[in-house]
This record gives sequence, structure tokens and C-alpha cells, in this order.
Amino acid sequence: MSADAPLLEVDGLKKYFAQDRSLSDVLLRREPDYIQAVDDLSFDLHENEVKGVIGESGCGKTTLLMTLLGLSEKTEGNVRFEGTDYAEFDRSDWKEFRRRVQVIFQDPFNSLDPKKTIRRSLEIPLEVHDIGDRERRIHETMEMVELGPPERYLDRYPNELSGGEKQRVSIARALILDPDVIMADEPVSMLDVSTQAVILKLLSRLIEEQGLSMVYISHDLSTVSYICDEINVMYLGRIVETAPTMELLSDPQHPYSRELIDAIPVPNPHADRERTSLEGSTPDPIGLGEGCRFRDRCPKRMDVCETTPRTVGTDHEVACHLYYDHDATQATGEVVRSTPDERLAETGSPPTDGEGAEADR
Amino acid sequence: MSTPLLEAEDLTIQYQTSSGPLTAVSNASFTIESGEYFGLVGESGCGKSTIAKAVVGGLDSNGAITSGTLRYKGTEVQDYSEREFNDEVRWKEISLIPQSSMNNLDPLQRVSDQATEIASVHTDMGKEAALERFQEMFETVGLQPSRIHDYPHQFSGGMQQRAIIALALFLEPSVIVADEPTTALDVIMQDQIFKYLDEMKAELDTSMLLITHDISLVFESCDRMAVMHGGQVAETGSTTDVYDDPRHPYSILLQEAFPDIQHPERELGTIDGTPPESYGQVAECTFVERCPWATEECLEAEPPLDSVDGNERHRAACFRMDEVHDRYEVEGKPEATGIQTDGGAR
Amino acid sequence: MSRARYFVVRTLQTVAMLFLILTFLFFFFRLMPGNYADIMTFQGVTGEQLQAFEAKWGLNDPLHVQYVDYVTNFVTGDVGTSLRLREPVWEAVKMKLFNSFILLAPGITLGYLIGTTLGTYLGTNRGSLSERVGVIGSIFIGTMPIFFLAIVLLMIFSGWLNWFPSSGMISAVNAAQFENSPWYARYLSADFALHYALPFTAVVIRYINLPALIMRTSVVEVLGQDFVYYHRVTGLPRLRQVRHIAKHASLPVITVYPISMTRAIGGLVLLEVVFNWPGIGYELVQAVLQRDFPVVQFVFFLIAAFVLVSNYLIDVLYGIIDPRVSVED
Repeated sequence: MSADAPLLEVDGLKKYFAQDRSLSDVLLRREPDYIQAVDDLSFDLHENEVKGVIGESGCGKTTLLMTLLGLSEKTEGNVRFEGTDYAEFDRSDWKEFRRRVQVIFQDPFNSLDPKKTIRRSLEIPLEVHDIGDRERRIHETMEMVELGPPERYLDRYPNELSGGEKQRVSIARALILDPDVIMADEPVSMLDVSTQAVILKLLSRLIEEQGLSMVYISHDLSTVSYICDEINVMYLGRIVETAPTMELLSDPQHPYSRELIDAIPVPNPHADRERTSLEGSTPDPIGLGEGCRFRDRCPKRMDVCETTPRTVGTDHEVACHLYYDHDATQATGEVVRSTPDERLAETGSPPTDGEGAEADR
Repeated sequence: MSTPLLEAEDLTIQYQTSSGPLTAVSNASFTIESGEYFGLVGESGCGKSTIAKAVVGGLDSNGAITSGTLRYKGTEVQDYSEREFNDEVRWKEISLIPQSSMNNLDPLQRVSDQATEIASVHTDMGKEAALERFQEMFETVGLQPSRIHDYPHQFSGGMQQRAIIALALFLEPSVIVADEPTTALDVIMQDQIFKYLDEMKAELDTSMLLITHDISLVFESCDRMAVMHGGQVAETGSTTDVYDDPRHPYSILLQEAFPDIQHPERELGTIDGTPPESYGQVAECTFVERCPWATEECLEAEPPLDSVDGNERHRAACFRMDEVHDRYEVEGKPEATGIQTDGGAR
Repeated sequence: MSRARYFVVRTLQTVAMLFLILTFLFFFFRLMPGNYADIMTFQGVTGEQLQAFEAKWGLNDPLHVQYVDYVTNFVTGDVGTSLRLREPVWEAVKMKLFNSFILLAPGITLGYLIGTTLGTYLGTNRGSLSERVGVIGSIFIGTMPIFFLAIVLLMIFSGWLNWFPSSGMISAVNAAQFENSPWYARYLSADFALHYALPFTAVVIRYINLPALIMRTSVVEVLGQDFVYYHRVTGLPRLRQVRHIAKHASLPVITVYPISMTRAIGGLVLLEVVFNWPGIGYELVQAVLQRDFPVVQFVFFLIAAFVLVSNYLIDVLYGIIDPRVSVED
């Protein structure tokens, strides 16, 4: 991790979507309910770093991606690229941004224009950014993603390629502008397992060779760990834990991280993994108010969890009351860390099984 | 040994297309006993979904079993007319948990109405009895029994899937075919659902044919399994056999390719190429283009599903199953793929 | 939001719209160029008589006074007085309305029922010869304007085969015998039935094509849905499967029903002219030509109300069939 200024900085980001109101609500001037898709999230990305964002559906990771790409305006907080806030970008700033920050999407079947040849799909970004020497760049990029000889593929249409080949083209398209940052939204989840590893290895190699940074978004912890230096676990719009990959997997601190990791099936008939004891499903992020968002389902819930936990730790950060002494912090003004056993002992409240009522509708 | 519950013997299923007969399944053989959970695992295009559809009598209109047999309790599925299959087998004996798209339940029907309709078609149970049974099932899968009268959109995704499971179970079939039942669901939800599937096994003594691309699900939840590639059964046996002693190159490589969260530092295996699409009769091993141990022999005929080391219950379809296993133990996976004309000596 | 609330809100919306339209029509016709005075003068009414007439009907009062009068009268049932017929508008048009209604409503409805069934058949039998014939036939008929269809029917069944009379609703000869009977008696006669047959058929035929084609496309789309496969694989008999499919597929057709109602009004005038059918279309033309704006206003209002109310009823029906709808949708 370089000590330089970060390329991307997210600071207290909030992205809320107002829910539709009925006519009477509007007339009576009632406040709309808000979907709090991303709530007070902070995050940064330095050169040549690969950070993963993990979470289940509805946790806000896609919204985060959209905001980082500048495709969705923030509600509060700021997002900065190389120190400049997105809100201050003018047209040429945006153009520059778009060249330097690229994206790879999840669905290889839908992210390439079916009416354009591969060559055309790769040419267009170059045309938009007025970059010359196109044939050579196209060929080079195709070689980079191991689609060789390029002539075999360039004049074909997406439907003639396999899923893995299409994804390589998506990566080529992202690389052709020589970007600094690549956002990847589940780039391998729709590929067969035997191809997933191939694409992940390719990405890993390219990141190394080109000195790229990447934000890798996924729900699949097992593949994320392959490519990311650091993992951020998201739940209901907030990052609940951040740690270097191996550390997170060997020592997940947040109860949600632990549940998530424990629920992953193991490809070994001799392993005796216990099924999850978590009930219910993730609620909608509407009208959630203060407090830890996981408390309704958390097996280690305490009274103090009614207040929003702060993030503690340096290399391994976690936002959970089990890991800091709320009262002591208030008293001294400094964040006082504690261990889970200490916390549970002193509050005297035994871990309750999360209610997990069928609070879905 | 008693008659197996479900038995496929040299089963070939083809789809009539404008480019000719597409062979989705070629000479597949496997058996499922009562009270057994059987996993059918493979990647896209291997034919596992086709087999699922054939078992429930739901093949697309251009698909048909062209050779071999698929037997349920000894009777060939082909021999039933649509009417007979509906009256005697469908849903009462064999039911389906379809792929977990959120669109399987009819949005205009209350879930309870859908249940009573199904019951009226297949059994003589009155409406009352059917509802009672259905409510019990709702409880078994962890849903509130009072909610059987809700519409599908009132349930969340995971709950819809559980309602589908309740529908598949409530007539107490002998075999449940579960076709990628948790693919679209989050991992915690998936675990919750498999928890119920585990419990069902204990309580109801049903068999299950679990179709999936995720081998970990099969290893964890199934007793026996088959691995498929390009329409052919590569290997079949108990989950422990296939895990401890895989003999088919595809089984070996597939397991290597699967990440294991308990061993995150392990290098992930890869398999080059993609499975072929076969037309007409298949006369070779469909894995040949991707196989690191392939030889000329593999192009000449379909490898038969032979027993491994004399164990009838563990079979692999590879001409070189013994050699491959020995070589792999010693050398690991070779670099090149495709035919080695030197007989594989490296 | 709850379904009950959905229905209440839709009702209120409909009532509000009706009121707005009433207001609009009132001012629109008053402010349009050309007026009754010219017509009446042309008919030979003197200046004095004209002034007396205007005083009597309050036509000299300021507009807003007239408006308030109009609205209060309207809601108590007095919808104005025909300037040329010198009788209350309602009396003048009510039977005409009835005559048009009995032609259109059953006609379009039957057309839709036949069309929907045909569409279901076409959708579930894709690729077959009968489907292709059905589709081409539907499109062909749909391109014919209704008056053309009417003329063709007249020529064949009235002119050539002489099975049906060629004009009017009741032949003049028989009209006399109904002078002293209750108003509905004439509608129950055989004579009426004979006159009714051809215009009714024209309407039915004309309104088969749209629901047929929409239903067909809708069925094809529904067939691709997972729940259709699920119905099949749970072993439901074919007919039950089709019923479920039709229920889903009919939703777009229901949405289009009021649109056909609206279009029908346009064709109604021509239809009535061809068959010499004493309906509201014919009456409306007369009133417009003579600037009889109370009549015109009222008839336009009725048309608007008709469209609004049919839309409303359709929304209600949709809300009953599909449990997912709410006002936000």
C-alpha cells in the first residue's frame, strides 16, 4: 500500500432514494420514506491496491459502485478523485475521469453490444477519447487478455464467443484506454467455475503488470479472496468490517462477517460444517434510524447496540460494540478498544438469539 | 438389491434443431435409491438440466429420449402417456423444485389456491385436507402457516423459494428433483434452505435429485453423486468416493477449480476450453479437447462407465482411469491439454 | 398501499376529472366563433324575438354567472336546452343515446370476447397454418374503416341477398304501430332485430382484430414465463393451463378496451350515416352544424364521461384481477 495520496476517496457517503408517495401524502406534505441504500460510508483506494466489497443482495454495493463511477449523485458526503470532489468536475474533468476510471460488468451476455463486432466495441472508446494508432492498440489489448491471435476474434460478434471469451473482451475494453482504476462488478459470477479461475488469474496478472487499482464488488467471498488485498464487508448500506483478506478469513470479527463466512459451503464431504443459525432475511433499508443495523439478527446483541457503533481498529477495522467500550470512549474522548468477552461480561447481557422474525413484508 | 427408485441406463436425450439433432445427454447411467440424496453436478451445457426435465416429464417440445431408458420404480418413464404420468407419477411421486428464478409462482394466484389446484389434479384429497397438509409443510420450511393465503409478491425471494419447496413436498413424493434451487439466493439464505432440506430427509424419507453447478453443495448435502460433462456421465459414486479417489480427469480438475473458503491460499485450478455441443451420435469422450491426459483412444469411442477398482458403486468413464489417477498423485496436473500422440508419456 | 385505498382514490380522481371537463367544455363552446344568433336569424327569427330569446335563457348574463347557473343546473339534472329544438337537451338526445348505446356496447363487447378467444387460440398455436391465416385475416379486417365494412355488408346482405333492410332502425311503415306502446316495445320487435343485425355485425367484426392481435402477442409473451412452465410441470391439464395463461394475457387487452370505446365514437358517426341509424353520432353532427351548443356541450361531455368511466371501470377490474396493483403503479 503506497503512502501517496489516495486515488479515490469516499467520505461519509450517503445515498438515499426517496420512495414514491401517494397523492394524499403529497397533499398532506408528508415526508417520503427513504431507502437508505448507502449510509455514512467511508472508503479509499490508493495506487495499485485491490479492495473488495462484499455483501449480499440489498446491501448497497451496487449503489456504491454507481456513485463511485459518477453515475449516481450522492445525497450527502463527498466522493473525490485525486483530491477533487466529483461535484466540482467540469466537462473536461469528466472526460478525463471516464478515461482513467473504467468498469467491468457482471453479465458477459449483456454488456457487449450484440450488433457490433469485437473490433468495433474496442474502437469506440478510442474514438470517443480521440486516441490514435487504433489498430495497434486493439491488437495489443487483445494479446493482453490472451485472446490470440486477435484476427480470430476481432471480426466476430459477441454471440459467437463463449462467456469466458466475452468477459475477456470486456476486460480488454476496460483496459484499452490505459486506465488507472477499474471497477469490477461481479465479473466472474456468471461464468462456469472452470473459467472463473482463468479470468481471475488474468485480472490478477494485469493488475500487477499495469499497476492498476481495483474496486471489486461481489457477493462471493471465495473468489474475492483470490484477487483482493483487502476486503470490506457491507451490510445494509454500511461497511461493518475491513481487513486484509487472509486476516478476515481466518479471524472474522464482526458477527455478520462470521455468519457469512460460516454459511459458505465447503467442497469436502468429510468436513462437518454446521448450518447457519441465522433466521430471516436482510430487511429493506428503509427508515432504519440509529443503532447497529445488524442488531435484529445478531446472536451477540447487547443493549448498547441501540446506538450506532463506531469503527475501531487500524489495520483490521470493525464497526461493532463488542470491540469497543462505548462508555469509556465517551468519558475519555478516545476510542477505547475492548475484547468481546470483556464487553459481554461487563454488560451482563447474555448473547440473545437474533429474533429474525419474518419481518420481510 | 431392491429396484432402485430412479434409474437411468444408457440414456440419450436429443433436441431437434434446425442444425440437426442436438445431443444433450449421451448414454448416461446412474441410480438413485430410496431415502438417498443424489447430486448431479456439472457446468453449463453438460446436460444435467435436461435430465431433470426428463425425470419430471417436462422436456421442451423438441426434446425426446431417443435411446436408453429412464425408469421410475421399474417402469420406463417413456411408457407412460401424458395422462397416466399426470395421474400416477407427477407430483405425487416425483415433484420439482425449479431453478430459483423468482417467477415460478403464478402472481395472480394465492399460494394456497395453487396448492389446492395441484392436489385436485393428482389426488382425491378434498380441499380441506390439502390445505391442512400444505400448512404443515409451510411450518416444516419455516414459514408461518397462516400465510398460505398470501400472494407470491407478498413474500421475499427466499420465502418464495421456500414456498416452492413446500409445494414440492406437500403431496409427499418419493423423489424431489431440485434444479439449481438456490442459485439466485444469497449464501446465508442458501444455507437456511439446505437446513430445511436436511431436516426433510430425516423426517420424510424422501429422495432428492439435486442438480447444481456447485460441487460444494453436493459434497455437503448428498450421499451419492454423478459428475457430468458435455452430456456424458464422467464419474459416479458416493460423495466420499468421488472426493477421496476421483478417477475421471474432469472430476479431478473440477474439484481443483472450486475455491475452498477453508483453504483460501490454495491455487485455483483451471480447465481450458469449453464443453462441446454435440450433434447426432456421440462417438468420443466429450472431454477430449480439454483433457491433459487425452490420447488417440479417447477419440475413437465413448468411454464406458466402468467400475473403479472393482467397486460397483464407484464408476468412471475414462479409458485411462487407473493411469490418470496414479500419474496425478505423483505429478499433479500436466501443462498441455489435448491429444498427446506419445501415449501420454511425459 | 392497500387495494381499498386504490379504489377510493381512483373514484375521486374520476369525479374530479369529470368536473374539469364540464368546465372546459362550457367555456370552450361559449368562446368559439360562430353562434346561434346567425343561425337563428337565418331561420327567420327577428331581432326582437332574438332579444326576447336571449333574455329568457339568460344568454346576456356575464359568462361566470352563466357558468354557475349551468353547473348548479347540471348537478340537479337540468343539462341545458337545445337552442334549435327548443326543448331540454336531455329530452332531445336521450333516445338517440340509447340507440347508439345498444349498438356499440354489445357490439364492441362481443367483438372483444371473440377477439380474445381467437387471440388465445392464435397464441397457443404459433407456427401452425391456422395461426397464420388467423393473423393475416385479422389484420386485413382491421385495416377496413367501419363505414367500408358497413357498405360491404349492406351490399351483400341487403342489396344482393335482400335478407335485411337497408336503412333506419324501424321501418316507417311499422313505426306507426308503436305510437301508443311503451318506449321499449319497439326494441323487442322482429322488425327492429332485422334492422339491427347489419350495423351490429359491422361493429362486432370491426372490433375483433385489435384484441385478437394483442391477446396473441400477450399470450406468446406469457408463455415464456417461468410460472407457465411450472403449471405445466405440476401436471395441470392443458385447459387449466390455458385458463391461467389467458388470465395473465388478458391484462393488456383489458387496458385497450376503453381505447376501442373511444375510437368507436369516431366511427359511430359514419356508421350511423351509412345505416341511417337514429343515434347520437348523427344527432351530434346536426347540432354542430347549427351551433346548438347546449346539445353539443352535453354530448361531448357524455363522450368524455364515457371514456373516463370506462377507464375507471377497467382500472377497477384490473385491480380485482391483479392483486399487485396500487395507485403508484
